[in-house]
Amino acid sequence: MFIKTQLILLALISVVLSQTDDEESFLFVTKQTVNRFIVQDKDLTVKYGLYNSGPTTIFNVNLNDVLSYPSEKYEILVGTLTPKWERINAGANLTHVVVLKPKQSGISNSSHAIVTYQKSEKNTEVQKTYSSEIGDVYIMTAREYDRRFSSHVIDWVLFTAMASPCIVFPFFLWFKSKSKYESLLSKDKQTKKAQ
Amino acid sequence: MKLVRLFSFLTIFGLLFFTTRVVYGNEDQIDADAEVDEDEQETVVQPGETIAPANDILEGKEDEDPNRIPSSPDFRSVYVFIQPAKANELVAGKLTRLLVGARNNGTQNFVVESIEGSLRYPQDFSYYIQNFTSLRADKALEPSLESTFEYLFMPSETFNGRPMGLVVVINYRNSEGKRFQNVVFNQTINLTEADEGFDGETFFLYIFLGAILVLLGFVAYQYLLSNRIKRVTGKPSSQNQLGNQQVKGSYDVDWIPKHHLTQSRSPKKNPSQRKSRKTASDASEASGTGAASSELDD
Repeated sequence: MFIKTQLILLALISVVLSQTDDEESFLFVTKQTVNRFIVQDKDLTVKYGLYNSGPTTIFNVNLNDVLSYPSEKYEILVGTLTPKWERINAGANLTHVVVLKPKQSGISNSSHAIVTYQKSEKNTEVQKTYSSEIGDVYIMTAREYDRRFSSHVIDWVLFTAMASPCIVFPFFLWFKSKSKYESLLSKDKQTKKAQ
Repeated sequence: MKLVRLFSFLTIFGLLFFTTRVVYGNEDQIDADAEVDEDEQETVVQPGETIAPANDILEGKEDEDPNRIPSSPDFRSVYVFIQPAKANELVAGKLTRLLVGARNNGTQNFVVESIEGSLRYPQDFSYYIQNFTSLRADKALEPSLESTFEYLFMPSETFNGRPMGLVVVINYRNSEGKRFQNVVFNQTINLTEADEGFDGETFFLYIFLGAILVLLGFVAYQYLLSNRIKRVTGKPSSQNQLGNQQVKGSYDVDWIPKHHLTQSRSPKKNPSQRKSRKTASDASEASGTGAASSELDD
């Protein structure tokens, strides 16, 4: 009992965090967007994470996500949607990043990526696996994004221009009366001194 | 000062009261949810294929319920926590990412419907404490295919440093429409406090306390200073001839700038001149000013 718990703890602490029953390794594939807001004609970074949880090294890993990002809707700026890797060691992490540019705005559904791999060197059978999905994402237009996040310099300039009369006019009134009073006071003093 | 203190105490107690109220509110909701859940799927708590915790509390409670949803032998599920990395120490109030892997070993399609997670009372796993938003997948899994699902949830901050039973189940159906359920994760975990480098709440609490201290110090300083000045200025003024004036006019001459004093003295001389003139002209009219000038002459 105690040894078993120890073993479980060890297994958890070690890099391998899997709970595979059999000897086969399992490849976890995640797919995420790094961007919080996806904007038309602006960079969209998609991150694929591959994690081999199993006891064996997996081979011939092919990722394919062309179906999620068709070329008529997305433009690839950096990276490829069909990367290949020779092997992923057991307990190893692999991250793949693609930078895309959405051409259209609106709601877009990005489905799973398909990954094929071999479970071990001997096992030539090709295993197919789906990644996690991002799901429906809303691609906002550049104008909408600007309205929400741009610095609004022109707006502020206009605002100050419109607001300044309300402040400047009373200030001038006050300043006029003040200077008038001050000149009166100085005149008074001068006359006193003269006396 | 007292008012401020009273106010701060009131706010603190009010906040405490509010938080406890919120917690109770949550529990009520969850209870209602739990009842619904229990109707639908009774005692989902049973060790699945993938779960083999040696210290499972539930082993004794493994009474087979006829109503529970069975798990298909052809469906395999694995999990891995990617945030945080330690599965048995989740951070309360922080986003937790759990990857659930599913594999179809059978010959017919499975449709993964949803993944549900919940926190249970560690002594009694049928008692729900917090339900997490379920992940609607609706993903078809063909034979010998694998799929990864990313399940995100956030344990409530109120369960800081408490052991909790975390149960994550995956619901799926086969092509005939028969429903199955696998328990992906079923373990007692510890919820730890998030060790943030900067906590805004405590930071502003300390600032507030510091401000109170500074204010107290300032008030004390002012009080002491005013006392000392009174004592220092009081002694020599009583010895001086100015003390008389202070008593008479009920003002402290020290406060008045020098040039004002010289100015005010110059008219003093005038009434004496005037007096000499006025006493000569008519005595009845000068009675008022005469009284004042006589005082000044003393």
